[in-house]
Amino acid sequence: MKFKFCMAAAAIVFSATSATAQTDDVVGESVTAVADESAATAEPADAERAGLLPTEPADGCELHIWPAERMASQSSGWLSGLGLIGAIADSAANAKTNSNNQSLLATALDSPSQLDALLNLDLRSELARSSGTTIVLHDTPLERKTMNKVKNRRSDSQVTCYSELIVADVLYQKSPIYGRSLKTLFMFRDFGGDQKIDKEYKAWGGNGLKLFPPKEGEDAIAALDELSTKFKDNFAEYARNARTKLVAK
Amino acid sequence: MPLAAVALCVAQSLSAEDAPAVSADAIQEPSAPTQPACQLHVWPGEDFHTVYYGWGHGGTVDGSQKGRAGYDRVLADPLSTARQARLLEAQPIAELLGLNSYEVTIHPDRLSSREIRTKAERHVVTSPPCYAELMIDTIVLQSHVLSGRGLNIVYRFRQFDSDPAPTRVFGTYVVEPLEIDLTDKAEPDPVVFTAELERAFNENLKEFAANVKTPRKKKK
Repeated sequence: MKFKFCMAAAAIVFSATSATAQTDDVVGESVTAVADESAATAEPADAERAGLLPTEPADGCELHIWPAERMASQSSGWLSGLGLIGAIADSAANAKTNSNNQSLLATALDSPSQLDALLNLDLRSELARSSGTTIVLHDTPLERKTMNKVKNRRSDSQVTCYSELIVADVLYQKSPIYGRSLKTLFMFRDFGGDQKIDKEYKAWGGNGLKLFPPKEGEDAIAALDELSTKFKDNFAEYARNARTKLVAK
Repeated sequence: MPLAAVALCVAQSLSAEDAPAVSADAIQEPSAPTQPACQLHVWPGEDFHTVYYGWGHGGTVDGSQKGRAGYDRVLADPLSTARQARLLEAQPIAELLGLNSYEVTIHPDRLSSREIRTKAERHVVTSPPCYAELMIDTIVLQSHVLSGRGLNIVYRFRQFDSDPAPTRVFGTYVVEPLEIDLTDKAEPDPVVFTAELERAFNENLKEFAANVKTPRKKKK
């Protein structure tokens, strides 16, 4: 009985975490401490990547990008609609699948792949940055729990035109009603010339999946590639909303 | 420096006549008469990642290596790239894959994930037309409070003939259950931990090779 209660608690906490994370606005405890050590000391990723430097003369603006470190898989069946016991049974029944999926997310969307996917897009246009903006990639993800708390710049850059794009969460969801989807939580922050956030937008982008997840042993390449494609689609969806919302702020 | 030049050649010949040892020079000169008819190049992967689902927390990739609270403690480097290369050398890889006449070269260094996923052409340019490559894409030690632990390895396999494009591309993942006790309080016994991961790595490779020979069909 105690075991069942624990499983139920876990399922509830997972659900609660997910639900909380899906809010659009960031309402976090304000912390003025310096950005966490890993971020402050992290070297920008491969400076040789194409697309980092603007095609037009650089205007001193920088857009810093961090990949996500948190990835989750939530598969639920019809049992979840049958109350607590059903949710417990569902969690147990899908445990191995969720664990496998989590590994595959970490594989297909490792930090370099996330950054490559984003760099394939026209980030300056997508995020309404100037065409002279220099893009700075960080290979090391930020610690997830500091994301909302730290309110100052997450890099040590001192440029007077500074913004950040942080990938916060990657989530695979399967539900009996809505099917399979990949969701990604992004956060954009525009600092201008100081350490204070001028504009901020945090929201999920989500798109349906047709191939993922593959079964163990079957050809999985197309399914893994689909994650990268949907990751980009999620960002495009997020960016569309961001442009609208940020103009209104 | 070409990959072939730094390759660690390992003769895994099935018989003396069909797979003579290959020198670096022979690999660099595809037209050399001593070059074998077929080559299989194998690349190890990066050291393993970890993922975790616990009671009410989890999800951080490499939370164990980062020392996050509540995450199992693991040892650094039990499946380093160099150690993987040694484990691969000890396996009859060509035989496992059904490529008996292929001469095997185990590379000491891994390919980057970008190279693995985006490069369409062969990774060893100066190779004979009959050529195959096996890449370990990613290794993940996965842990779930309800389903236990496993070593999840994603592989990529490609075969070529005289055409630039591969004649066959196959990639999948295999999960080998792990029989180890891990906690967030103390590091595991290094001997036991390493031995179990090496066992799982070897078993995992055999299972993948079986899938290469007889791929599972997707359910419609």
